[in-house]
Amino acid sequence: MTELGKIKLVSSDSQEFEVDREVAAMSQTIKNLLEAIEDENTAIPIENVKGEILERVIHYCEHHYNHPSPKNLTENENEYERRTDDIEPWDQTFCNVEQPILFELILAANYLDIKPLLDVCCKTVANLIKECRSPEEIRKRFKIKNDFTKEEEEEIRKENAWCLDEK
Amino acid sequence: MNRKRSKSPLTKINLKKKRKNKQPEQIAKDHEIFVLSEKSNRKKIRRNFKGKKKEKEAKKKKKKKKKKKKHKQRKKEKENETEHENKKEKENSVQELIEISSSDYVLENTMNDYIDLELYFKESGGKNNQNKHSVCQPINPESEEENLRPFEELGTSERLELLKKTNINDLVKEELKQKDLETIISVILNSKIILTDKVIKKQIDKTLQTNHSPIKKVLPNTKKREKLKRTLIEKLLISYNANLYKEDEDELGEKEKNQLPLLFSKPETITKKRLRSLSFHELKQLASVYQIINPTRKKHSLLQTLKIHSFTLEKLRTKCFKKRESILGCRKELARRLLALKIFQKQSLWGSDLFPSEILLHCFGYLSPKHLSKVALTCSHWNSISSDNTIWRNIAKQLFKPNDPIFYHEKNILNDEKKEKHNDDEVIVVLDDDNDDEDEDDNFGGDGDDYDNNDDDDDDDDHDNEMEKNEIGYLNGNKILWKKLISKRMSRCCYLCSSKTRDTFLNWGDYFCKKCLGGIQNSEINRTKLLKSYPLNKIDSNRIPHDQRHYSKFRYSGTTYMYKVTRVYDEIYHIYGSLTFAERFPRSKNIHSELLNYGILELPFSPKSPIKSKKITSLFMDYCVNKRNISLKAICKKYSKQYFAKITEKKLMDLISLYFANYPSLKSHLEKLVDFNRIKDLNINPLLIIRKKVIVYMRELRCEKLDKELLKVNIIKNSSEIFEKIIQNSDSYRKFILTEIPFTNIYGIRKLFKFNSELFEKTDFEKLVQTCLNEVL
Repeated sequence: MTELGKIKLVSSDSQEFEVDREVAAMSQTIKNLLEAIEDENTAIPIENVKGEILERVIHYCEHHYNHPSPKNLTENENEYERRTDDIEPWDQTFCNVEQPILFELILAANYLDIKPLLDVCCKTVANLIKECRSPEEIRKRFKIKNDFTKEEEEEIRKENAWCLDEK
Repeated sequence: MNRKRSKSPLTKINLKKKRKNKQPEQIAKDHEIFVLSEKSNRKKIRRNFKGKKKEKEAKKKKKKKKKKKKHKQRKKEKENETEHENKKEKENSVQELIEISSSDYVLENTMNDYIDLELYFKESGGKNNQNKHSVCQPINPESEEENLRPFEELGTSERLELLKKTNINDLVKEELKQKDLETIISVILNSKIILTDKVIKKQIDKTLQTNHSPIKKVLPNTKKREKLKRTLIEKLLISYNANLYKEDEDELGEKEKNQLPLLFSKPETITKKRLRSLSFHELKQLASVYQIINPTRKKHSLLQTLKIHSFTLEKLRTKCFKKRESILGCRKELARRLLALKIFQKQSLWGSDLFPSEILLHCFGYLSPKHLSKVALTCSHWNSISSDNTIWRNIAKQLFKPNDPIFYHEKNILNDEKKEKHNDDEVIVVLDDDNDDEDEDDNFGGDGDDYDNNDDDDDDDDHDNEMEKNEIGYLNGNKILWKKLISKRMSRCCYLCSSKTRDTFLNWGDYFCKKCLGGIQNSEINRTKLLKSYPLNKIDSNRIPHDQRHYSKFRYSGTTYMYKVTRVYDEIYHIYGSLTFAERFPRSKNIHSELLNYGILELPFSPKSPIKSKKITSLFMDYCVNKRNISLKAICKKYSKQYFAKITEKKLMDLISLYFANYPSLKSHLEKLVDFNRIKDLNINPLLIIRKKVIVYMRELRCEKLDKELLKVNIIKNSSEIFEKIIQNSDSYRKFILTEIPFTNIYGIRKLFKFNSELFEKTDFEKLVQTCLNEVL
């Protein structure tokens, strides 16, 4: 039996987490599930997310549920303007994790449909990319295999020469 | 049926004791549970009934006797009576009540008051099943409490409020022990009849009237008893009489309806949403409760609705399972793919196409073109995502405002690609008007729609159309176009010629190179493009020079409006003067910094540097026309007098033409600053400059005003004089006057006529005038 107003989430490695209903509802996916499932005592399986990651996600949701950011109101003003330097300090430390974890966090945020978390994670990734000076550095950082032939690479380089040259 | 239900298992009372402080809704819920549990208990009770029956009867009698004895004792030894005894007594009475209520058969066999009461309830209850909708009567006419309105007068919401307010604890404070109250309630409830106000009233009245009533013992005060009675009635009514609410419910708003405990709502008004929010178990409960409470009711629609909704619930449930299945399927698929990837490629997941590309797209959306180009070089998957149209469009939207000149060139840029071959041998076009026009037609035949050499007004209309078209293009551009535009912007290429030496003057300088803006060798083509590109929205078509040649006579010099003009300076000024200062300085919140940017502020204005003086003239013009910017005003005030004193002849001519531009503020400033007396000393013919202006004046029929103004600047004494000279000197202007001045305006013609009619003898002007006059008069 769960407490009133609480629901149980079960991660893929069958760890159980008890979360406030409202907090869990920050995830659109869970919210939809809750609406569909009438029995409150049912544990909700989050099958795509490991316990370690789910714990982080819940931590994030709890923090943001208790500290709602007022920024959401002004977001619409600059619809097209996309900044990566406006991450809140708490979020910054939250996202300051190893790459595999960040990767899984993004997947979890995407699966659970928690937009602010996804945004923050994507911004962090964007910042990681920005820190790199060359394509090689990006490859190294994200462990990406270069699958271009020399000709292809040269072609792309040519195509984007205008923005590569600029310092 | 009723009888069976009226049997109250002992367990029930225990449960009810737990109810103490619960909210009415919860009480109602509890009740539902009891109802359910009752069924199971019934069988047990039946089994035990026969055996227990006699025992109970005996017990009853004994206890009654005891009680009576104690009662007598109390009367005798009031002072000696201990609290302990009191308690015992109460307990006894409670037990009695419980036992009475727990047995049907007791009722029949004993003549006890309590039993009598119970019997009565049975009968009246049975009757009342049929009178469920009977109108409520005032329960408590004798009530001495003033603040309490009769219960019937209250609305449903008020009743609910009352119920919430009346806490059992409050009653306890008024010396009524909770136990007792609960007992009473349980006794009444155990009768399990349809309770109407009437029944309850009688029931409670009876309970209170009986001398052995526990309530009477606890509450000797009649007032308090009355109050208790009221609250009891209210509680009972609200908790158990769903029917009572049916009269009022229609008046309730949606919200209030939803707040009502489900049991009290009209079955028809229970919304699907609300039913859906219930669990399956709750639904069943609800259904059973409705059956029990309304036994005589026809198989109510609620039951049907319940069935329907339980069906939909089932559906939902199956849906859920399907969802779960699909999620499970997805997870398995993903896990499989990830595993495969990890094992066989031994590389990060980032670069694989298994990582949802929309997330990568989201990430890349935060990157600038510079970073995107690097990303594109990492691997083929990232390359394909980073060149997504949406990313580039968003960047373009960030970079360009909707009115950015680049969008007026969208067409041209694309055309440039096609015509690059043709333009390679582009000849520097000499400022020969006719040739120039022909060249254009040859080279840009495709642009013929937009460019009309002979009709300026039409040309302007085309501008507007083009702008509209481009606005659509702004939204629907493709990746290639955006990349092209952004690359031009980012690499600071000139929009027109793509050369990289672009000046950073005001806004035009951001888009065009010096060459395109105003290089002397610049072709008419580029110039026209430039003119077209600039949103010359609200140009007064009347002010556009009618002589096409004038267009070719001005050149752009480097900056936005630093144009070098000679004869048609004023005309150009008209065009640009119609644009507000803000339009020309769209990005200059701080004009001061703008001025610093192109070095005006650093250098004192001196006639020695002709370029600077040109700029100053324009600045001054701006300042006079739109006195908007404080810093600009300061600059002009500081330098202008010094500057204008040493002004060159040419400049002076410009100023005179400026003077005749139709800007009052400009005029007054120029009068203050410029010494027009110098004109007499100089060997220049101001008429050359102003004659066109004079004609404009004439056209606008302001000769008298012109006379005054001419006097002011010491150029000439009156307009007729200047007119004569103009007409004497130039055949073309004579023609111009003939064709341009509105003949139908008698006043204008007379004015003209007055100057020198002999001058027109050579032409048929007089005849024309004569005919016109005849026509009008």
